[in-house]
Amino acid sequence: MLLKVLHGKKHWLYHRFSTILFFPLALWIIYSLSLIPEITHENMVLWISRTPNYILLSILIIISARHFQLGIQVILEDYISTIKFRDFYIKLVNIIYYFLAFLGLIAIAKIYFGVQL
Amino acid sequence: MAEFTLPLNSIVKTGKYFKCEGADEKNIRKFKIYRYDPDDEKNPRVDTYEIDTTDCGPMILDALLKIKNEIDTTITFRRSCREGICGSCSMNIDGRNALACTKSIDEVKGDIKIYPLPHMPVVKDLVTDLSNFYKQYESVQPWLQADEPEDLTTERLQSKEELAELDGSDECILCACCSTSCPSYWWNSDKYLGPATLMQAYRWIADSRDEHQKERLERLEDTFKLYKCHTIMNCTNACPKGLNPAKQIAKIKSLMVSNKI
Repeated sequence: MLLKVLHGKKHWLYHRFSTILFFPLALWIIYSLSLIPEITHENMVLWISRTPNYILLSILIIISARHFQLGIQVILEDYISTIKFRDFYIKLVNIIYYFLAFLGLIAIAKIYFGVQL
Repeated sequence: MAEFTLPLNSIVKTGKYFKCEGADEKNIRKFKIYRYDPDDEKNPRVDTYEIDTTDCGPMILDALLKIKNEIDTTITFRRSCREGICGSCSMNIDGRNALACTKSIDEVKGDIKIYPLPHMPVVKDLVTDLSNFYKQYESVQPWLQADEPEDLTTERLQSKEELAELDGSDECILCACCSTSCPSYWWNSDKYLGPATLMQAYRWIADSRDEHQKERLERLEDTFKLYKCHTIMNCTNACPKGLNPAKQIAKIKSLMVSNKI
């Protein structure tokens, strides 16, 4: 379901669920990053290398990317009336969403496992 | 694609000025009214009419009738009951959709600007084409649907609690003030049903005597028909009857989930 273009009730439900999940995760990341004395490359690597931070950050990337994709889909449906253009842009945004989420997950996995190893 | 600029023939020009002679200046109110006649192929214009409020009824509709009867007979608008029941005189007054018969002149400060309902094709002056609106209303099949044979000698009764479930949706007069104030309806009125129609859909979904709730919900399961409501709440703000279409739409969405449509 994560990879499908959603419509109607499913789209509405996923958009709401992603908002509900995103909110505490956003508060967590703001709070957690505020505890780091100085934002440097070394400190960030150390922060991501902690298992709870790595897991929560991975979830945040997936949730926020999906929320972004669902939101952009609504805007495209609202403002593009030509069906073929609309479907094209929705699919394009979906591909961008997969790509960005994948890139983010790979990046932090590399840091996490790199440090662990 | 959505259009963000007006076509040249839609740009509103300044029109005629009708001065009120012999009245006390402090009693005069200016009515700036949108005028458009598709037959003369001219751009729409805004005509200004001065009205002596001491010689006119208290409502906007009274002023419009005075203008039509005494100043300019060419002005065109719909009206019927004059008491907020028929919904005919819905228009955009002072930037808000309202019924001309229930909006008083004193409620508006400064010049009174009157336009047709927004984002609707204009037939003439303040009269808009509501064909699509009524077609959408028809699409939700706004009548009682019950399969089970009833004893024709008894009524289909409804308790006070069951009536309360309708939550005022049966009081809608279909004036279209809500639908035409909704930005989602402006962009996608060909596909999105709009608040008025959705409230009427809810009116029959929630009716205890109706037996086709599931089918009614299934018909609404569509990206555009129902889910283009983004809870902007303009509909609730605009309703001249004080109803809450946004709440009814939220209830439909909730029923969609609980009924596993």
